[in-house]
Amino acid sequence: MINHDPGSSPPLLSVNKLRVSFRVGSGINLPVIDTADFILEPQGSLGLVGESGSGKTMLCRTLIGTLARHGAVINGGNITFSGQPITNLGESEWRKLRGHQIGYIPQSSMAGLNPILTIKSQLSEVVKHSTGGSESEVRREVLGLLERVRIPRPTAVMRSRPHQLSGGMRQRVIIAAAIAQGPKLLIADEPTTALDVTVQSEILALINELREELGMALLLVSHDLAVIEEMCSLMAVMYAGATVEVGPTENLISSPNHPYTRALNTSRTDKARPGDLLESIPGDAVSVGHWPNGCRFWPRCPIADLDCQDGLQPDLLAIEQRASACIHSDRMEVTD
Amino acid sequence: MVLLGENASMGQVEEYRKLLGLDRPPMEQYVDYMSNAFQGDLGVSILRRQSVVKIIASRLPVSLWLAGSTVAMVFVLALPLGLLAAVYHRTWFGYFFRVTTSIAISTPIYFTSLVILLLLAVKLDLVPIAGYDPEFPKNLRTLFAPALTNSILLAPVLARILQASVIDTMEEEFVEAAIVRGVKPLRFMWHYLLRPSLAPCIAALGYFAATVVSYGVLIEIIFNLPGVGMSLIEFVRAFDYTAVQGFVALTGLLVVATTLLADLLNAWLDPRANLK
Amino acid sequence: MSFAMSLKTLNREALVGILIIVLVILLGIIVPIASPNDASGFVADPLAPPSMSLPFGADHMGRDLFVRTFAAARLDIVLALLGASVPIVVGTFIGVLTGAAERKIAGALWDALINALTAFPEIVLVLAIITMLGGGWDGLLYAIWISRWAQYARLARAKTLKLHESEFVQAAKVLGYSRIRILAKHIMPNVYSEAIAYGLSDFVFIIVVIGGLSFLGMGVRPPTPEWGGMLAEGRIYLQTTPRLVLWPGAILSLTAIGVALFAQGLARHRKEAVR
Repeated sequence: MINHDPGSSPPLLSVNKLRVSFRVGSGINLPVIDTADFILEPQGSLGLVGESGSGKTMLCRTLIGTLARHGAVINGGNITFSGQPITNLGESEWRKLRGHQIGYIPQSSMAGLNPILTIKSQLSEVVKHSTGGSESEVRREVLGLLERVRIPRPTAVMRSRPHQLSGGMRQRVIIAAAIAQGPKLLIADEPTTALDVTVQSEILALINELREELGMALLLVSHDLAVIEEMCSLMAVMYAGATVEVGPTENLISSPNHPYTRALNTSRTDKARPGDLLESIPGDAVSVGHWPNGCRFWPRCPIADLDCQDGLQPDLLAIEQRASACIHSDRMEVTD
Repeated sequence: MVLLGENASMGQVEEYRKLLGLDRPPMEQYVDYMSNAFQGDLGVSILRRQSVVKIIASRLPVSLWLAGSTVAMVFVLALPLGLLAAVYHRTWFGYFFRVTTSIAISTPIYFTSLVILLLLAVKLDLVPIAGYDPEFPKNLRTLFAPALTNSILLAPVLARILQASVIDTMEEEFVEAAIVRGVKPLRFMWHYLLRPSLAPCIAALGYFAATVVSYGVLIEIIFNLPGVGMSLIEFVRAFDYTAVQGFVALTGLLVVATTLLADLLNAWLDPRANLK
Repeated sequence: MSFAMSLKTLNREALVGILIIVLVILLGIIVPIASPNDASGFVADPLAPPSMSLPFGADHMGRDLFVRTFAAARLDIVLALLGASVPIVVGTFIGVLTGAAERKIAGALWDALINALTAFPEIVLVLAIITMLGGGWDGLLYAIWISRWAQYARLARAKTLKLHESEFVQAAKVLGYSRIRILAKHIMPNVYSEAIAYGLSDFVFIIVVIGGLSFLGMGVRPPTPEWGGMLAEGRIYLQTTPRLVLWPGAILSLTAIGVALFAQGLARHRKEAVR
């Protein structure tokens, strides 16, 4: 297993050569994730980086069991959560996992809440899983939740509807709903993308606080390396449905072993100094169904050669605590 | 001419015309009528020599009962069916739903009424063949077959609209988020599937108000219910102009009222509507 | 796609619909001719049960129910065709004209009139008109025509207004084509084809309306065989001889369902063809 110490306790989440495809017509499958590989320890943190089309959102959906809704299925590899395989679960089994063990923060806060119900009404849904259910108990729990996510004037917020709150507040409510039952794993899909910069850091800080308080592991999906650097000790980079590099965040950022990781680093806007040219990765991100032969990154890769263009996407090669899917990773220089 | 019979002399006809005000220019007649109407006077029925308003008023309760029970039954039938059809719309149930609703909508109402009567009244003896028992709650028994017949025609339309609407709602992200949060099934169906999808249905109800009224008339005749529609037919058969005019004016008013009511109902059920 | 080609790819719904319609029409033509019995002749004892010579049995006056049912098919379908086609043709024509009207006020007035008419409960309007014009099948037709033309006018007007803004009409204008020519060659055919598609589903409704009015005694009167009338007559015998009502009713429903299926299938077919 990649980046896992075989001697210690089993990982919380282990994704191994996962393959997810869209079901398009009878018997025809369109792969959206080809090989996803990474490991998350209990109370650890892993950042999932990638451009749009990399498959990271579908990965989140796989981990909360809502693939069917989007017309996709798992057709390869396996995933274990707390030692149990979760690739073949039925709806009732997923219901036991969702909320209780796995919490989920969706991308858009507005879209995650029912516009016609009050906040109290919606939060009481999650609260009722663990509380007895008397009206005052539920109310107290909901208030407690709102306070935990540091929402100002919680009583007023309880009575409001989603559209009456600001983006940041809504996101806090969503976080509250996700952690209400004390899950072991919190999956956050681009939790701050739709927010103002100032609010972003507040929310991220909140997530970290809650992590410590509740002892949760965090799987953070983002296209923003800065966020991942701040929040996650481990990082997995995805490109065109494949995990191309995995390992400790620090290492991957300071000395990437995959050209794509390197490119992501250099194109970071937060590290750019005034007067520098902003770099971007040449070419466009590949979309599902249009993956090239060989290593999927080769058309945009500065060190690609003929070997890269044939065959299949290379496997992850593990070296110590990290792994890279580039056959020429030895050619990557250390830049600091 | 038609009313007085063929033997009436010209003089009599002239006199009668003066009485009815038919000799005045049409525009004047119309204005006169309208002003009277707003004051609550819809004229006197030629046949019955009673105030039209009185006639309508005496028959109205029955029609209202019928309308009420029809609407209730339509909702009882359409809501669960439409919801299920949306949730299972890619399975055999969805196909079955489509076919059944097509058949239900196209079958003429006067035939379905007879089939229902055959089943319920003749074979099973559950309801009386015709007639109306004004006493509550016995009148519900006499209203059952009529309301059912009407519903067989209207409920499929509503169910289809609901189905389409729920299918759209199901695509929304907040529904997925709710699934992930683990909202309990009953609550989920009502608050997350039904309520957000009701808007087109209520709007449709307003739009179909006219149809509901029309079918109400037919039902009253077929089942012999002494309602507003039934008396309309009597007047038509007797070529009673003023009465028919009064009815026509009244129904126009009713349609406007129901459309308004539907809008209000919509605003109450779905707060999002208030934003628009 | 040429018409013949599109016919082949017609979906199952529409095919079933057409089959039913064709079957009923054929029977409607053949049965009254082929059968030795006349639709209005008294050939047996009243309420005689079905037999070889009387497939549906006899009705309450001793007439051959089988022949009557299909003679009624003929009448009803013809009436429905008449009832449906006139509003389509006339209503659409008026709609196009008002849509092409250059003066805004005239258009707005028409709008108001048409909207008022279409919002009205159909049956009430029809009944009112029948009151004024008298019954029988001519009064029936007039009533249907008057109450139905408005919705086609509304459709046509809306479509005309939209087309007016479209590119090829603008191009034609620039080229100096006369307004009449534009109307005739470009706008009318487009609008009419849509009107006819809409009219198909309308056709079902008309069949039902005609039957319904006759059922009430306002349309075609006995002894002329007509489905609605037969249902009204047979109603009294519901408890004893339900087949008097069931057979005409079933064939009537079948026809209505057939047309409905066809209309629906065609609509879906057209939608998919556009994609």
